[in-house]
Amino acid sequence: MVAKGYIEKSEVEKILRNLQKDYRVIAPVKRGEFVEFDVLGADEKPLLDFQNTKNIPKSFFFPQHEKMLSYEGTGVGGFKLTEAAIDAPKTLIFAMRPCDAKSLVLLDCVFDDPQYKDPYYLEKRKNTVIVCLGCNEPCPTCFCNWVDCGPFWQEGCDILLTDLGDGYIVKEISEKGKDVLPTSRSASPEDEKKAQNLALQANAQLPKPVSVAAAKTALDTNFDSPFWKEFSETCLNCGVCTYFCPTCHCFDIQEECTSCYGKRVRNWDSCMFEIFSLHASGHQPRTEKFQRVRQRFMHKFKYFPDNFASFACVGCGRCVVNCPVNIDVREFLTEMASPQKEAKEQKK
Amino acid sequence: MTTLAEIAKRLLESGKVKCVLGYEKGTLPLRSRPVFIRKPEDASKLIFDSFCENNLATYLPKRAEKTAVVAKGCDARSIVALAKEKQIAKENLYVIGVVCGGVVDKKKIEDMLGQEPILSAEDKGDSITVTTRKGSKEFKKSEVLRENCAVCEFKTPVAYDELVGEKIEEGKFPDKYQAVSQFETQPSEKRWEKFVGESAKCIRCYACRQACPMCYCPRCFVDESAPKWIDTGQDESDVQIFQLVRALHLAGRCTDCGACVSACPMGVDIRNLLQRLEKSVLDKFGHRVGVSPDEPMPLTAYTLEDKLDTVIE
Repeated sequence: MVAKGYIEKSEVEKILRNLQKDYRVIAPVKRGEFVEFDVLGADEKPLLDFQNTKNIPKSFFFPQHEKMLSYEGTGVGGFKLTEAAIDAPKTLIFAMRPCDAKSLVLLDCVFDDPQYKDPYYLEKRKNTVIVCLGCNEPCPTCFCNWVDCGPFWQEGCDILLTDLGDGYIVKEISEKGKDVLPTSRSASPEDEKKAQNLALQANAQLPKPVSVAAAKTALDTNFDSPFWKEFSETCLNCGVCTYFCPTCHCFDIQEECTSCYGKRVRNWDSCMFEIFSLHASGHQPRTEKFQRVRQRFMHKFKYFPDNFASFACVGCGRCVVNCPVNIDVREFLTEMASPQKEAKEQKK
Repeated sequence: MTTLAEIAKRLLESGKVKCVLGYEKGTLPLRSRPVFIRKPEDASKLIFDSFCENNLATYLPKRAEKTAVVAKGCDARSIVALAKEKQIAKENLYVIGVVCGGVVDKKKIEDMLGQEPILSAEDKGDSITVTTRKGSKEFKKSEVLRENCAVCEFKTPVAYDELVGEKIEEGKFPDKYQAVSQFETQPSEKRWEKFVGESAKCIRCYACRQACPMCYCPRCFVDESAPKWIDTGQDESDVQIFQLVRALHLAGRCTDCGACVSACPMGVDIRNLLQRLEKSVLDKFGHRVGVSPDEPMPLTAYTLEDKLDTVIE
């Protein structure tokens, strides 16, 4: 592991100001009571001593509300259609956590399919450089190590920074990340040793991994299990888990119009909402709450891996922290992965 | 003194109810969460503490099974209101009232700790001890109470089939609406600014609506498409109308249980609108929601005594 260079913490602000000349720089900043990723103001200081942001950087590639096109009436039977300019300025996201960076690689599976390419997502993806900050101190709710991810995971990062206290080791991961950040000197062998130790320490802080592969095996044969009704009983079917999840990607295309003009928009949707699966005919394939909850967990840990060989979860813990009734995916995975589970179900 | 667990065990074993809806220890610090107990041997999971932020009445509308529900004072009033609105069959419900000293505001504690991740928390009754990587800190419960709990006048539920806990003296808060009154003297630009600011935080996750026992419409107005009242995106006027209309739909029905505030992941000040409506209903109808089992719901019943300045006499 040969790192590229070293940046003093005292230099970071100057570096970001310089970058702001060429990029829209997005960094963690204080917004109200929370730390959020937002466009860094011209004189604003980023908040780099943070755990993870309340909002998800996915919003900069797949926003909650995006205009696709607009139209207006031009007289009887006539209309003019204007495709919306894709909002994809040259962007640099600074201090993204590795879990959030990996989530973009998972979203690529959906939005960058050989047959169907999503221009809105891909243009933003193409124009964005991602500078990740590894996690020296994972949150008590993190479980990235369960789902093929980790505090210093490199998938999705263009550059990976490691916080050594007085400065950062800069490691260029991809072509896009080459020569983006100016470094004051190269990293010394002592720096690299320190970084390695930090990575080991961080991994040691994470909870002992549960076999999510074993959980998936249980899910492969438990679609009709009575477990689902019991597990989903306290769920409120709000949209919190889906709206805070870096890998959730369902959307709803809507027309917002009056009689003479309108726009077509794409909004986030949630499989937790009852109307999510409601057909225009009135048919509702998921009448019961347990069916919706089952769908969510199956998608993340069975259907997505069936299709793309990856779990649709990066272990960021936001769903755990924000769920109003404390439904815990870690508990779910632990139960699913337990050897008694399969034996129990086979008996039934 | 019978405990919740003993009561639940008895009710399940006797077959009086099919399930007991209460609270159990959560998987996060400062969180106790809803639980449905169906087997007598699981009854020992039931607890009650300062982290029981959910209003369990939200699970009751149209519930077919015979259910016992653990109810704090505010939740018990929601149950009375739901019964008046014919959303629950009283013969299928057994209310286990709990005397409640208030629920903590976890966002307030997180803020006071500078968003330092919390490793564990202990409810010591009058105080809460919270531990982070930087050490432990003790908060007086009164310092970190949820806003609505700080002015609660119903620590003992008004209606129940059985009560757990010693009845305690109710606090009286004659200045309960002082903040509301002060806010209403502000010029309209300032009041608008507050409303726009709070609505801007909203992400339309509907946690507030789902957590609320009084939001039980099979199809909420925001989900209706024929007619489409508002769009489903993040256009600010759509979000503002959602916030405003949901509050208006709760006028004369909300018991200030605080479940919506606790559920909201973005810290929207939902009570800013709800408290003003609560005060308005009290002024115009002399009504407090869910206290008397006989008083009709103020906005669905009309009497000649109603003092409405919109009615021409």
